[in-house]
Amino acid sequence: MNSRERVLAALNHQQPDRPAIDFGGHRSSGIMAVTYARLKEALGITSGHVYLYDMIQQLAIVEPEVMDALNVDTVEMGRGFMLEDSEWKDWTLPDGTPCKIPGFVNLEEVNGDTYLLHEDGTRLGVQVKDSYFFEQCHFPMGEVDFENDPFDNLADYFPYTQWTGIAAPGSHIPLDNAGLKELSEGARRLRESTDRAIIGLFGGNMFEIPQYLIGMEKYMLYMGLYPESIKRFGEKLVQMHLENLEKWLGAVGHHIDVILFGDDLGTQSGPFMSTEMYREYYKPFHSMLWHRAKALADVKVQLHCCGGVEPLLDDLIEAGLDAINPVQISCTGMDARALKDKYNGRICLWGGGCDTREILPLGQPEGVRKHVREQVDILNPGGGFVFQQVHNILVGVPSENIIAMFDTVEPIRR
Amino acid sequence: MSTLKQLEENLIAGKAEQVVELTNRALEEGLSAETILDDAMITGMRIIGDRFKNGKAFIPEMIIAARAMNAGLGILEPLLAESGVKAKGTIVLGTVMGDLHDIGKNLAGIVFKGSGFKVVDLGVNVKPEEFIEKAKEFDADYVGLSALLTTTMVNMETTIKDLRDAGVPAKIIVGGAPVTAEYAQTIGADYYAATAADGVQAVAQE
Repeated sequence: MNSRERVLAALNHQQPDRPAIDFGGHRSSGIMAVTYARLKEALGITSGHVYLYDMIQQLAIVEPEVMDALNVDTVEMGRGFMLEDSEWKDWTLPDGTPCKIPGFVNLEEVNGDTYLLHEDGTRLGVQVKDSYFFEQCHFPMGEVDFENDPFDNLADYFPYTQWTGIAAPGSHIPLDNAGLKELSEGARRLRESTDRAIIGLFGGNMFEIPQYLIGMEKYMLYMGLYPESIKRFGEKLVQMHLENLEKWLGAVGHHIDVILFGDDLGTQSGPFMSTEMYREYYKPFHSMLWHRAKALADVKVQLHCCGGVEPLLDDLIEAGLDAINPVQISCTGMDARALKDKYNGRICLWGGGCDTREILPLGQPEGVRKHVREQVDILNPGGGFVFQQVHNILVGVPSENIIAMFDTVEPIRR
Repeated sequence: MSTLKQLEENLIAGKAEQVVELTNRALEEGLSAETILDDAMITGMRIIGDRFKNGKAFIPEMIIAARAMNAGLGILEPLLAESGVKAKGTIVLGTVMGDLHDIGKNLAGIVFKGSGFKVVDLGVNVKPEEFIEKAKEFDADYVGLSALLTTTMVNMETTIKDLRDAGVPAKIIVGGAPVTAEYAQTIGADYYAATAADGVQAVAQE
């Protein structure tokens, strides 16, 4: 099996020859740039650079040499774009490591804090001194009259949150005629250059975008107070998403294998909301988007959805979901064995391969190996599983643990 | 149904206007502010807190109940102060340095406030010296530390050490997604709160 066949077998609940491996195929299976630089050293890879492509989460592009060494079977569609160093500029990571960041990113440093800017200078995110992430600091709809606003001009606000306004390679291309042509070309070239399964990051977030625009706590207050307004917001938002989906999948649908949507519906101890609220506020829209995606292209639908979301899985499957990510095994209800037994054959568990809360960052290589072996033995039989560590590999995770993790799934090639 | 029972039910349902109206009615009926607080508001918040802990209520329900509670407390607080009623304790809360996440910390604050505690919320990205200063200023019984990230929870350890070194006698509660009971013990916290409702329960079991 080649990589694409392996990932598709897993998604189709057929036994692959070995577990399919995702690393850096999307923005929640990656590695922070500081840690990536150390990993490359440990692997003895001296070619290339550290390309920090996701400013907010400070994630590095996993370069082809590293993917080859670690037997990675996926690649993000964004890797088909910004292939020239002239499109990047130099920056320095918080630990002093030199790296490259996208040329279109605007930063401002004030008293040790770094701000991520809209091109008009509005501060959208801040990386406070000694921190490794950018956190949102501007909520453009925070003061709107949520109960009564018609939400007719949502698109005007999108450039003003760090999550919807700061692009990563690929998503920096506008969905106009010239942009769609560029997208289509880049995705086609990438497909011709690799047998890895290609993941296209669409987003289409229904629960998260209002939080970005309004603020998390305020939006959750409104969920309790103004059901009609929440639904009206969702109707306007899904129209935007559907229009973009038609254009985007029209351009890249032939060249990708998986379309990734996003919406973190869970917390450490369970879903953010009741099943009833999910069914009323979000499920109809998820269903519209996911079914439309499958009608437009031959793609599998994956949702990135953090937290203890087991109580919602039946509804997500019914709404058209093929794969759930990241299978956050340290959360309530997310035990790998229980999930595999209950959902086997109905949804692909894309993740859950290695705990990133304790074992990967704090454990020893032998403990990592034992844990990964157990997870793979539980999750891989019969397909329906793509290996990835539960979330991005953060700062401070020892390279030997990362290497032990991948090497347990499939002996690394170094 | 008694006014207090109605008040409790409306608080649980997050109906702020009705809570205000029923709080005023209970006062008109001659009930003391302390009785209204103890027998309707704290009981109501305990019920919603238990439901939250057991997966029967969720964040939106918690937040609207807290909003309703705060509307009622706005009426009661001056009266409680006048009659010299003391809070059940004082907790100084914050998210540790380098971390800007606050919903877990805010939920913990809601539960403490709803259990009759005075809550001093220092916000996010709080330096150890700010915790020390405010714990001393408010003579805190408890200090609550929150973190969402494995990269920032290490600042809990520094904060605890600094609080102890500064001689702050308050008991220290830690919580947040990356924090485990073992980690809490390793860094010398007095209590570990797995969910927003657990901090109050741990303290109540003293």
